[in-house]
Amino acid sequence: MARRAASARANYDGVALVAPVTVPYERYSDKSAHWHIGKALKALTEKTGLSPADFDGFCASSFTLAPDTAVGLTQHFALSPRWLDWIPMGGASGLVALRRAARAVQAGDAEIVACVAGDANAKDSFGDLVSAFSRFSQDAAYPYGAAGPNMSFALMTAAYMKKYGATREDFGKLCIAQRDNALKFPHALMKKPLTMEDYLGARPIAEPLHLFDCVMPCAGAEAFIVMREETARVMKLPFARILSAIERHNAFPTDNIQLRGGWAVDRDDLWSMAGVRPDDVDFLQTYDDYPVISMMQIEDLGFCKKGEAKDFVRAYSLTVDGTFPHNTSGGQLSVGQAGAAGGYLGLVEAIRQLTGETLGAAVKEAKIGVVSGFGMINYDRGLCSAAAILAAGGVDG
Amino acid sequence: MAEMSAAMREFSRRADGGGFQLQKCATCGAVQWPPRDVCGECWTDALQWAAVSSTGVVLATITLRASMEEFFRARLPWRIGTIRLDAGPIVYAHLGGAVAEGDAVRLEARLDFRGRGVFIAQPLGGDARDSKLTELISERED
Ligand SMILES: [Zn+2]
Repeated sequence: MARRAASARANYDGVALVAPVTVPYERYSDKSAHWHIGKALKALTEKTGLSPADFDGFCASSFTLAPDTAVGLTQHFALSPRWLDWIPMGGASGLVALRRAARAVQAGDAEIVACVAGDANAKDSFGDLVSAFSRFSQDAAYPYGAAGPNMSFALMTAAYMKKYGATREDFGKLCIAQRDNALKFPHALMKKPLTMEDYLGARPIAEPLHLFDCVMPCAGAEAFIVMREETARVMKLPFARILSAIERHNAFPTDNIQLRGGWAVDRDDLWSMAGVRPDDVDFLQTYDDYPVISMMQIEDLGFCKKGEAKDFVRAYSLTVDGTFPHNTSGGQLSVGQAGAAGGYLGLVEAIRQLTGETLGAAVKEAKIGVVSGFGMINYDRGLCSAAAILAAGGVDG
Repeated sequence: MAEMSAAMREFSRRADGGGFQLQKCATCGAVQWPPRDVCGECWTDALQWAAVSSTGVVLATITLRASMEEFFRARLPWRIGTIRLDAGPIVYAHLGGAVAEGDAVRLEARLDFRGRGVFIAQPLGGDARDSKLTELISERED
């Protein structure tokens, strides 16, 4: 079959993102994923005045819901949606949910879609999750030291440092700036300032990774609602708009070690569809389970050239009150990684920033934000990448 | 025995005697890793176990200082690496001796302490199996 040029992407006009909510994180919890997701749904109703019967679309993500999926949750929560989705894509879950729910709303397949991710984290449960994460991982990655994602990200970090000359201090700068942002965010599990001395002196986990390079697993949930802009206006709900969004899976499959992600394939579409440039962006939320992947997103999304994220993090403060605010709630590295909710954290925080509903520090006059996601270390690399450019909608647009 | 796919169990069975066999596609010749049920290149199911070249190059190495399994926790630090096999695939391997990034290596396939087939990367023309690696493939939990 002859290859045709890719079709132009339709815009996301008329779609509103509302009601960013977070169920406060806990390092360990005896509560189930069902409980966390239920709490998030309840928070959506409290924030909007909607009742359970108003939701005709439902989309969920979780690593710890087994044997249930989104369909089982409809009965748990007495929902009768006419549109249902289950997105097992880890760190890309929030953005993929946004893309699918937005299209459903535009097409009239659903009116009001609850998008939610939540996970449990009982003591000693993380090993079970990691050992059976995927078939390839179980067969050909986990047996090599049983280190979970630490192994893959340590290898990526080692290769990235060697190829591009990034140093531990560069990763430290990024982590410390995020901690600074987290100190103002009430739900962050990390409450103490982080100094470069603390960062560099932390115990090694999987060299070159040390303690503060590795995200801390926890329990929690995140959610938001996708509806028509018209509905948001009638309900007087502050909303954010979607200027553009991309996703890509298993990009660059022949690369030796992952030093780039799918954003590099689709970023021209991302920027041209949005009609804005990197200079127009007021803040960036990257997926940050390890700092190396945030550096790759900064490069692959087009904020700087490949290999130059080290110079980029040296040039900006990355704090909410400084230059180029990045991971404004503290990111997963300081707030915690609540399983699949980690793939929602940056997006929910971006909606907060753009609707004036921040819980922590607010980016001054934030009009345009970029959010990106990364997920699923299936074997030796993360397969899912996604990103969106969002804009403040305001109650009156 | 550890949980594993049927294809991985077959790899492990063949590794038990020290054989180095991977799946090769009879249609397109692609060598597969991790083990599959259908060729990852041409999507036919004509995969056959075959002795393939066991040499490769080390792409990156790391040193684990934490692990979720007691066997490794008792023997930290533990070195592993990513290797591009000359036969094609990328594999993880336990590292023998001072095997380092950029080195050409020879891989062995062995059964580990939980009955999983694993790779050990050795220097070309040498055997740098230390006591920890010997324990990895000689102890059996079950
Ligand atoms: Zn084939």
